Amino acid sequence: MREVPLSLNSQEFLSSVLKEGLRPDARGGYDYRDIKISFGPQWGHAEVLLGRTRVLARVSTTVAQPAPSRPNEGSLFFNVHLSPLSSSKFSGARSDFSTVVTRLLERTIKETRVIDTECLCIVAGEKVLNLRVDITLLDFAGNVIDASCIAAMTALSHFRRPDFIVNGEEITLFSDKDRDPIPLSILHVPITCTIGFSGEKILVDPNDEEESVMDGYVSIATNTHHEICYIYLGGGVTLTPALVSKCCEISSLKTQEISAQITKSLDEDSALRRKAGTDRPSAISSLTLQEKLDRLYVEDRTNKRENLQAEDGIESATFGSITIRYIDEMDTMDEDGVVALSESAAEPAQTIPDTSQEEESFPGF
Amino acid sequence: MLGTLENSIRVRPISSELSILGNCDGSARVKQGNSSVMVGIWGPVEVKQSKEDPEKCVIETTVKGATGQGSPLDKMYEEAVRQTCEQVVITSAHPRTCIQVIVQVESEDGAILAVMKNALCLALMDAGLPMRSMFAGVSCAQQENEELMWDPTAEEEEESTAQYTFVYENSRNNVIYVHCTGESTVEQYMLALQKSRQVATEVFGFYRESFEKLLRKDVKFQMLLPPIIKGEILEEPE
Amino acid sequence: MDIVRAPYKRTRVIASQGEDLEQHIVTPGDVITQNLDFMKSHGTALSHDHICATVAGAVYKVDKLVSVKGVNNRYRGEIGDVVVGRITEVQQKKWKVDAGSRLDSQLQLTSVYLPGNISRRKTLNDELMMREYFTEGDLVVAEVADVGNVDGMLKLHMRSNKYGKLPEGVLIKVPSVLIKRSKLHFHRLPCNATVILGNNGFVWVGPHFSPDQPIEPFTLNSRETIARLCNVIKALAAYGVQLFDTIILTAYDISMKYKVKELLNAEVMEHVAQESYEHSLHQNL
Repeated sequence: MREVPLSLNSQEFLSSVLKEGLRPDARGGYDYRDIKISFGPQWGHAEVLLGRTRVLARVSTTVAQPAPSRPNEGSLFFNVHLSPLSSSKFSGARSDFSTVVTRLLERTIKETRVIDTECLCIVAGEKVLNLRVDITLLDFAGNVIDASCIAAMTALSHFRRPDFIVNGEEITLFSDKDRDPIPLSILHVPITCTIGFSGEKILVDPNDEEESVMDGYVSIATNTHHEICYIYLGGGVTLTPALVSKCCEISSLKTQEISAQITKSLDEDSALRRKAGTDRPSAISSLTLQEKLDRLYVEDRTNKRENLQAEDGIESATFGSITIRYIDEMDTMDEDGVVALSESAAEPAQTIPDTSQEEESFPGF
Repeated sequence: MLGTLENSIRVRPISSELSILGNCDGSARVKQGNSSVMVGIWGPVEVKQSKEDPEKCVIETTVKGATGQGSPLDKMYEEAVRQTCEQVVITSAHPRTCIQVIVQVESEDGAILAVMKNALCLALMDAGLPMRSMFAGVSCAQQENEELMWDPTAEEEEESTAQYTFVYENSRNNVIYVHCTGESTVEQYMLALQKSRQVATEVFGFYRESFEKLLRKDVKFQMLLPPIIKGEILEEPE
Repeated sequence: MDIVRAPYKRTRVIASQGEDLEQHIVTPGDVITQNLDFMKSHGTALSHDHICATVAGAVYKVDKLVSVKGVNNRYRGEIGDVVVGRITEVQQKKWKVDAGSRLDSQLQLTSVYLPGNISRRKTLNDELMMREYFTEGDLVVAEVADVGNVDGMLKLHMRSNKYGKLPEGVLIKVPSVLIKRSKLHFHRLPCNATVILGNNGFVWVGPHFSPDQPIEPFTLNSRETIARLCNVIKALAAYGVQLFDTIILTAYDISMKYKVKELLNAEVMEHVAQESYEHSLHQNL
C-alpha cells in the first residue's frame, strides 16, 4: 500500500503556520476535537470517535489460574491492534508504535490500580477472573493515544463481569440471563492528554497532519483528583520543568471535561438500555421483526421528538441493534425519518426502516 | 419491504453505514441485530512483483475477530471472503495490482459469516471496484424441532442442530457460496436453500436503498446526478 | 466535523422522487439497456447481450456513450486529458508525477519542451540538468499522452508551451468526477486570476501568467481574489456541483456579499453552491 505523504510545500507551510500558533482546522492551541462515545450491545463494548480517529474497545473475561506472585488478584491485559483499515501506514503487525500505546495503557491503567483486582478473585490461589481489553484502531487521523485511553476507560467503566458463587469446592459462574452481571470496581479514572510541540507553540490533540510536522509530543495521564498517573515523552523535544508543569495543568483540566463526558454517555446508555428493556442484550432475539421495530421505533419517536424541538442539531439514539439518527429537515420528515447528517469523510448511517411505513417502490430485479 | 417475507421467516433489523472510514478506498459497516462487522477495502494498489499476476488483480484478505488473539476460524473466514471476491469482482479489469480486504468483527451475536458477506458487498461497491453483480449472505439454522429459523443469534445458533450460510448473487439469483455445519437431511437443506433466497432478495433491496440514500438524500450529491429527462436511458439512439 | 445547524427546509434542485431517478441509479449487475448500439464506457460491461453496470452510481449518457460513475472512484486517465500534478521523484530520464491516480504518472525527458521552446534531442547534459527544469515538489500541468494498457499508468507529455511548471498559486483537490469535460482547461478569468481545471480533479488557482513574462508581485487584492476563488471552488465541490469556468465565475460573483473567511462556513458554502447551480440551470435552458 502506498502512503501519499504531504507534499514538501504543504509540510513547509504547515510547519511555519504551526510555529506562529495557527492551526489549519481553526482550533485553538488548547482545543480538543469533538469526541463522540457510543456503545455496542454487549457490556464493555465502546467506540470512541476523536475528530476522525476511531477506536473500538472490547472488554472480555476468562477464568484462569492467578499468577503465583499475586494469588488473590485477577489480571488486566491490554492488546492494541492498529488495523490496516485505519491507514496505509499500519500493516496490522506489531510495530513500535503499537507497543508504545500498549505500554502506555498498561502503565496508566493497570499499574496505577484503576481496577480493584481483588474483586476479581474467585478462589484464592486457584481461580481468578482475568480481564482482557482489546483496542482496535479503525480509522487514523492523529492522536491514537488519547483516543485509545478514552476508549479503554469507557469500556472498562461500561463492562459488567459475571456474578459467581463459591460453595465449598463448587464454583458457579452465572450467565447474564440468570443473574445480572456486576460492574467493575473503578478506583479512579485516568485520562491521557497528548500535547504536541512546534517551536514554542503548544498543540493539544494533534491531528495527523500536525503529527507529521510537529517537533515532538508528551502524553500526560491525570485523573479527576488532579493526580498525575503517567507522563510519556514522545521524543523530539526537551521540556523545561515549567513547561511540564503547564502541560500537567492542561491535562488535568481536559481530564475533568472528558471524564464528565464519559460519565454522561454512560448514563445515557444505561437509560436507553432500561427503556428498551435491553439490560440483557439477549432479550431482543425472541421478538419478531415487527414487534422489535414497533417497540423500539415508536418509543424512540415519542421521546426524541420533544427533544428535537427543544434543541437544534442531530439526535442519535442507540438501542442495542438499531441506530436511528434524525435529519434536520423536520417539516419534511421522511416516511422513515431515518437519514443522518453528512460530512466530508463520514457518511450517513442507513437503517432499514419500519416496513409498514415504506412507501417508495422501486423496480424489482 | 421486509414485510414481503413469508411469515415463517423472521430476520433482525439490518443497518448499514457507507464510506465510514476516511482513509480506505471503500468501507462499510453492517449491523444485523447485535452482530456488527466493518469491512475496509484498499485497492487497486501496487503489489510486489513476486505476487503480481499479469492477467488479473490479486486479492488479499485479513479477518480479525472482536476479542482475542485470533483463531483458526479467522483463517476460514479469510478464505471465504477471498473466494467470494474472486468470483464477483471483475479481476481482469486491474491486472498487476492488488485489492486488500480487511474485515474487522466488532460484535458477534450469530450469523457472523452472513453479516461479513453483506458488509463486504457494500464495501466493494463503495470502493467502486467493478463487480459482476451484488451478493448477499443469509444465515439459516435448523432447530431441534426440525423447524428452520433465519438470522439466528449466538444463543439460537448454539441450540440449533444445523447452521447454514448461503450467499446469493443477484444477476441470476444463483448461489455462489455455501457453508454448513451440523447434521441435517438433504430435504431440509434444499428447503433452507430455496427459502433463503427470499431473504437475499430483501437484502439486495436494502443495498440499493443504501446507495440511493447516499446519492440522493445526502445533499452533497444531489447536484452531482445528471438532470433527469423522462425515459431517456432506454431510448434508441438516432 | 458534524454539520450541526438549525432545521430548515432545503429546496430540492432535481426532481427527486420520480420513477426515472431510480432508473438512473444503478448497482452492479443492473441492466442499463438491451440496445447494443450504445458504446460502453467506464463502469459498464457486456453480459449476456445486455449492457450491465459494474459499479454503483449514476448513469451518464452522452450521445451514444454510456457510463456509470460512482462517487468514490479514483481518477483514471484518458488520452488527451489535461492534468495538474506534483513532481514526486526525479529519475534517470523521467520524472514521476502524482496526479491523483492509482500509480504515479510518468513524464519522460523526451516529452518535454525545454525553456525557450526548443525541441531538440536531449543530451547527456540535459539529463544531468533535469532538476533545473522540474524538481520534487513542483506543480506542473501536462497532457496525457498514453494510458498503459496493463497497469493504467499515465504517460504525460508537454508538447506545447502552455504546459510546464506552474508558478505560485494554490492547488485544490476535488473528486475527479466533478470536472466537466470541455475543450478548454486554462481559464483566464476577468477577475485577474487564472484557473486550471485538471481532469484529474486537481485545480490550480493563481495569477495570470505567460511563459515568457515574469510574474508580477502579489498584491493584497490579488491574494484575496485567489483566496476567494479557492473557497468558492471548495464550496462547489463540497456540494457535488460540476466545475467549469462559467459556474465558477457565477459562484464568485454570488460570493461577493460574504467575506472571504465566511465562505468556509458550511451554511454559506451550501448557499453559494445552491445558487450557482440554479443559476447555471437557468442559463442552460
